[in-house]
Amino acid sequence: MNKWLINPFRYISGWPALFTGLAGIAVMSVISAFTKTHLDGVIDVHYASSGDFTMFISENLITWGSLMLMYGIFGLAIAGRTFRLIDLAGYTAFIRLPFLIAVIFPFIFDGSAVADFIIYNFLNMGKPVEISTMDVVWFIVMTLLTIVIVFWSLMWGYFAYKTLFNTKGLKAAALYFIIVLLSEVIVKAILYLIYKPGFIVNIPT
Amino acid sequence: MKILPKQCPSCHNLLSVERLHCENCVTNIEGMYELPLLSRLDDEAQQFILSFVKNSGSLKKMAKELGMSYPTVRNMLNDIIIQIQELEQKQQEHE
Repeated sequence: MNKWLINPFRYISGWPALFTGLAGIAVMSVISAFTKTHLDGVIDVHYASSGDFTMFISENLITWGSLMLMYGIFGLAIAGRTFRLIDLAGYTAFIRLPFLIAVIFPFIFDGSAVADFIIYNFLNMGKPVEISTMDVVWFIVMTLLTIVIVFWSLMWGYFAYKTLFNTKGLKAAALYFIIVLLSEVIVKAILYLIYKPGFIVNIPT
Repeated sequence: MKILPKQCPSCHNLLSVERLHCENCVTNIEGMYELPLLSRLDDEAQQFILSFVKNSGSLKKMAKELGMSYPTVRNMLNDIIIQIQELEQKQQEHE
């Protein structure tokens, strides 16, 4: 079980990986529409922002597409045509699965009061909000757990990349960093073109 | 079952065969023979190759048998190919 949590790509590939990944993305999109959680990037989780279902599903699909594109380009450069497209599609969808936990957090922890407090006090936007110590504690817990989720997904991404292209060492790690960076830039650029400025955090006024 | 040593424990150089023996007629042959290329691979790689041949060269069947993903098994095969290429290169340099 532990091995699955660290590197599932040693055991899963092909259609099962693609089906599980896409099912996860679909469920994630539905839940995030309810909890207003935006996964608008490879390493992005934004809570308590508005948006409709099409926005949440498009964020997830664009991120998946961007990862697939970057993995594909770098994979061809590194490994030639030795990898299967089905694995590329499946693995890049599968590495998004940890975010399934992150989109559920707003059901458990209510961090919106602290978020509104920060926005009002530091950005002079919104309405004045009073917060309790428990609000701050839940906010910190939620933030820390979200960071863990992001790192978990990044770790899966690295193992998926290593398994797909059979690369090792420092050079592999450096190239993976570039893949993540470029994927993130592509997602942001596409979402910017679709939703225009202000789409990332739709601050209530 | 004894494991055939492939490397010298002292200098880690590849070992060669100096003496062969027939258990039936007790004939001894002495000379200088190099280990066949496949025997020089590590035990895991040899086991993989045996399994690969038994599975008619199907990586999908291998993956099912080993309980591993297809890309992982393909990577194992690629690593063995690299090992073989390195051994062949060493052999050529030696000759």
